[in-house]
Amino acid sequence: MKYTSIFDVIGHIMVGPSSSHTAGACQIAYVSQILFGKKPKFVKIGLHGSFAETYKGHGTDIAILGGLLGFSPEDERIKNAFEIAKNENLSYEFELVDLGQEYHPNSVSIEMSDGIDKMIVIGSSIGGGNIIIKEVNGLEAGFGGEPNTLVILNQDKIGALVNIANTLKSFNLNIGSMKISRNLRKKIALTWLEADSIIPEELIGALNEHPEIIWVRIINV
Amino acid sequence: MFESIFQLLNESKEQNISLHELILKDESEQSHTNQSLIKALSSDIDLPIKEASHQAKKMLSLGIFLNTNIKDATAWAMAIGEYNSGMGLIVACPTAGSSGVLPAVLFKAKEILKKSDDDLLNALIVAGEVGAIIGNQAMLSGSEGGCQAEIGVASAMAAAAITYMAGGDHDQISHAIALTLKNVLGLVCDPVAGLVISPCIKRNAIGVVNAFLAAEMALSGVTSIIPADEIIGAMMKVGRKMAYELKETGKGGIAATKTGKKIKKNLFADNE
Repeated sequence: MKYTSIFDVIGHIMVGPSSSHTAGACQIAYVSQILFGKKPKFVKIGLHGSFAETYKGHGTDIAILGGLLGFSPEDERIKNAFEIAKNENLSYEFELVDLGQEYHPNSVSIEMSDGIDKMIVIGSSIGGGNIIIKEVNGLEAGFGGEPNTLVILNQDKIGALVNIANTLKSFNLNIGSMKISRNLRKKIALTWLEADSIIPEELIGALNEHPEIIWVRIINV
Repeated sequence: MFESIFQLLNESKEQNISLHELILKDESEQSHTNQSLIKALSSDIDLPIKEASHQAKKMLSLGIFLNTNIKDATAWAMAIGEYNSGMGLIVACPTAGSSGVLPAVLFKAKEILKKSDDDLLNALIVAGEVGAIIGNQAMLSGSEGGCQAEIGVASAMAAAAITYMAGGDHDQISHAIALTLKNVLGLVCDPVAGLVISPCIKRNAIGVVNAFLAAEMALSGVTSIIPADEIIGAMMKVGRKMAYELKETGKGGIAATKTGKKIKKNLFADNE
């Protein structure tokens, strides 16, 4: 069943006008800046498909910029995102891109950098404000905006998964689902999992103690 | 979640428990959240209209053919639609584009029937379950099923809720859902320039009238010869058969008219 709660139908609380073109777009950007892990200074936003065709009227551009500023879809500051970006010295650039047929018509690629690090995230808004992050720095992904999602970039080594699983166990967290995508050449892997309960911030520190862990992000939206 | 309107109403009858209590019990078990918390989550409700603007304001001013109740409620729904178009904060119900129908109908019905906030909340719970059943049996988005799956569903949810609020029995609630969906079966999603403005704002108004009409019909004993669940099935099939141009692409219906295309051209040219 697609809808398992009355709040799937009554909700999301969101800034209009469109759940897919405004709320979903904002959510992709919001999750992207969580994945980046710090405030981006330069962003390059590539609009694909239907996003490219109608972004101006739907406020897709404002919503994405708002998400990158750390505003979630119900944050009314989204409306003033252009102005706020200017005040916070976030420089941005929009371009129209063709990511290819395999991407949902409502997709966007977001390149974030702060002069030191760079990250590219590709996400799709799949309807009703729901999203899927499809790619992180060229690694295939597949997580949405569900609460209690943990995303980890780690070296692709023997024992990496065991260490992740054991650390979660020590925090009494049950893993509901887990997936991995790998870059064999770079010997890195993106691991994402959903826990059954709220993931505490302290888990990040505990995971970082393992040398093969590159970064850890908690997505709790 | 209940699988069908029939199952929902039947279980309520068999267990001799009111609809909203049955839904709340089920929601509580499914989400492992206690019932009072679910109610608290949904209890902060207020009609989000501080001031009607544009066309909604015009709608409020007259009242030649419509009585005050219907006139007010349609104006409220349009005001919420306009507020949504202007990047206002709304609750998508079931979608952002159709978010004006349910609050307008529910708050007006509460006023007409002199009911409490709690009664309104109970009606909202019934509306939510009806929407979820339709979503699972058919769809809840213009891109999947046209406007029948947005305004159509919003008005069916509202009709069920106010029939319940007015004390209608199980059969009357079922007929109210059936009559509402039948009235807009096949309605296409054809936003001019792809924007949630035209015809979306005014379709919220017809959604209000559709809900009140169906509820009034059902409460006065008018019945639908086809059961609600079968109409939901028909809606799903119609939605699937509907051409791509008529499903939120802004490429068919009124969006593809001479004027519709001109508006799109001017709008995006101005923005360049």
